[in-house]
Amino acid sequence: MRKGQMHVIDAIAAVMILFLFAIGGLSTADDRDWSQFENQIIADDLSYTLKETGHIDEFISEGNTGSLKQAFNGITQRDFSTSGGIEGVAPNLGIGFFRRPSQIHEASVTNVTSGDACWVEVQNQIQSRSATPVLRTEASPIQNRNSPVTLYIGDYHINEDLASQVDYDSIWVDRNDNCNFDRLSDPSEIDEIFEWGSGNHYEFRDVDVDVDNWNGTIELAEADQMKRLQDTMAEEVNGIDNHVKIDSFTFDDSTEDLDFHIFAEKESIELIEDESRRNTVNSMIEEKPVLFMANLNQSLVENTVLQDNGFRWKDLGYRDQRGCGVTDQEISSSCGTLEVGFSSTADSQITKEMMSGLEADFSGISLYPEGSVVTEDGEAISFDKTMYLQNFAYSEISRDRVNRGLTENTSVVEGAGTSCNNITTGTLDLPDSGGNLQTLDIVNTQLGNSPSYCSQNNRALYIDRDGDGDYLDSDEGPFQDGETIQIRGLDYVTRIHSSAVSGCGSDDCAGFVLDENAQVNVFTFNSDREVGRAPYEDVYSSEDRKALAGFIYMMAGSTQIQGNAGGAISTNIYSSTEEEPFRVSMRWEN
Amino acid sequence: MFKPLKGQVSIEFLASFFLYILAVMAVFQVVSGGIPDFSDSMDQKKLHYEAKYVSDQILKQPGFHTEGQGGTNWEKNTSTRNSLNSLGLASEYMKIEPEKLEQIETVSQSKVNYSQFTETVGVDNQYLFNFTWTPVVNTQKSFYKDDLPSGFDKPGHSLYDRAMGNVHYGNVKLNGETRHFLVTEHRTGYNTTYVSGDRDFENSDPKGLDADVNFGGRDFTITGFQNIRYDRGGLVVLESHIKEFGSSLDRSAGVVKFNRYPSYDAENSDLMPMRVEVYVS
Repeated sequence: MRKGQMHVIDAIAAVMILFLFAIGGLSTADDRDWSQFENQIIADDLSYTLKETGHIDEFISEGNTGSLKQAFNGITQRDFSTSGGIEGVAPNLGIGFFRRPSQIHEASVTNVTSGDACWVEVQNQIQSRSATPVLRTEASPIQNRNSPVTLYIGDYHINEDLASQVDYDSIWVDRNDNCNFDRLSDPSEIDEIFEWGSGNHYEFRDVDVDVDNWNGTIELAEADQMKRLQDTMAEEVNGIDNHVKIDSFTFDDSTEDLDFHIFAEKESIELIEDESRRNTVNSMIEEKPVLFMANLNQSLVENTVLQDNGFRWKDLGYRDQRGCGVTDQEISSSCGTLEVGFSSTADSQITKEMMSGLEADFSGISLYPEGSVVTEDGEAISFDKTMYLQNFAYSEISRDRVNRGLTENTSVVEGAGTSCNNITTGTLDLPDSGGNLQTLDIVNTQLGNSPSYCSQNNRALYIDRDGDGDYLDSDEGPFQDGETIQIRGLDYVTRIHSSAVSGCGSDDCAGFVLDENAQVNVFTFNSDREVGRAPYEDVYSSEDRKALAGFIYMMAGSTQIQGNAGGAISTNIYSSTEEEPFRVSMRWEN
Repeated sequence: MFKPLKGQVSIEFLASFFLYILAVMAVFQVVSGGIPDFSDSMDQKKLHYEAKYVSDQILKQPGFHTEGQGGTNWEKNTSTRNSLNSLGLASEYMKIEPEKLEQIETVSQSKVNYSQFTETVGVDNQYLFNFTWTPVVNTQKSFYKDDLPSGFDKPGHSLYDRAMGNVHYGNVKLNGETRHFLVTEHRTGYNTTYVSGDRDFENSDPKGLDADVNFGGRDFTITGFQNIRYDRGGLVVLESHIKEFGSSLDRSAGVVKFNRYPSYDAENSDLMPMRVEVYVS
């Protein structure tokens, strides 16, 4: 290399160093930092002030999360984006109830003519309130199945700006009662549920009218189940209002606006067997909680969307303390009153809290679980115990596995290390999580290295898990009385009984007792996927509906203050309404 | 034959020397251009933090005077105002007391004026405060538009008949007067309200955004209706400018603006939020 070239390289290197030094020495304006600091102050100010003025308590007690957002936006005059959640109160929810094709009906509609039985009343009471000619239903199969009712449809929600736009949106119902369209017959809007007149309820789903001929069809969906659940969920929870709206949906509808999806009855699950629908439902589950209300059997669980989401069929059978129960996994009312229980897990406690908030009578719950469905955590059965039956247990696995006839064995047992010679041995039949039994050897030993220590009779149990004739593996013992261990996918507590226990002699009773978790689930919940399963009834009792509502509220999580704010600004507001504490956690962005 | 001399200058050396000089000049240009920005940024930052400090002082404490044994009621009379040694407008933390706010005036002999403010607070920069009362009216209750609650008379205006079915209502007390609000929905959302001193809305005209509602002689402008779920129609946002205090600033370049949100504890009124805009230059 020529000497001159080295000069060029030196110069370039010097220039680069100089640039780096200069750029590094310049501080950029930190408007962004200040903006964040300012927004945090604004968020803190507003949170504190609206708490002091009582607005936050008012909004929360009424479930008006929209008002909370509007107040923040309106006062600041800035388009503040907020989001967050309210813990401690039942959430606001838009619930989607899957409608099977068999539940959706169409009825033809046509222009009302002067020969119509309600012609005069329609002209006087409805036509003046509709921007378009009022149409009426014709005879249809749906009408034949119900009492004789005529539906009149019109464009009720008119506005002078858009009067020319045809938009049939309302239904008036003439229940064959003298064409009475007074305020008791106020129109039902699209997506609303109306009473047919014989106690049956339908949802007004859609309307399609040919404006050239003024005829077309309306689409209605059976909605008795939805209506009853909506009435239950319209009740305050712990004295705090929340908003629940239940709409139906099909696979052809957009479900973006829904917060929660329900698939009811076996037929709904059968309709998901198609791969594309199965993918659709799995996508729903990725986004929002889904509840399956169905009494299940093996074929409805195995290799279906339920299995995709952690549910497993276990043919375990049930029994109660009196031996009542059945072998085909059904508990009937002949077994007497159900005693529901709740575990100490957060999910279970929230379910119980929400049910209490709805003033549920726990002794009045009659949700008989059908189908041995559990979730699995790894290879072990997960008895999530969101709500379970205290007086029923899975019969194939819930028995105590205690050998009450251990015999003295003076031979040295390899691995069961002890200097004491009081050793008893025997076998236990231990099930796997499917109830399949395997016979395993156990050893009940005294612990100690000296005669004086042995005389204290501290005992431990060994189990030959792998059936290789020794107890050398670290997971084969020793297990002391009360120690919890997992055997074949089930959790047990070690029990080494003394002769004080009825039926036991000196050191001849020992084994494992299944943890209390073996009690039968009423609700099964996979919290990882936010998928739940509940028993199905055509007509749930009022207490059963409260239980379902509590389960749904728990699954739905905290009340969401909807928004996309993901900014670094956050606030927490603690308060209470009617002694029920809540916390509003928000994130802010502008 | 020439003998090479020590210290001779080659073409390459000259080229790299000039390249270096050019680069130094370019760097100098860049850096010297950045220095004013850096300086401006530091000034702005200083203003921001001073605005925060001053607004905290004004909004979070009652202020003090040294008249007699001293006290927080500096707004009481001329003597207490003249012996002001700390200016604050709060009756409690972040709660503005109207009597204190009443006793500040940019130019005045009898009230706390702007000179007294700068002297008491100890600032050299120029300040301007805008106090705006921003009540929010809870209208979460609702009824079907032709099925009014007992004691209500529906508006006689034809627009009411064209409203959608669900009508929200509520009331608020400001300046000693209670006003009842009906909020109606049209195709574009909840955008119209009917206001009455009692529950008779027969002669109430529809009011939309930017319309005024009078409470005890003070006009409040409607600045928002709730159209966010949940409970659309459940809120009406009003505002009324209460006072401007401070130096006349050119509010464009070089002015820092900072908003604070205390509550305003006006007499015979529901406790409501207030927006305080702080301008500093």
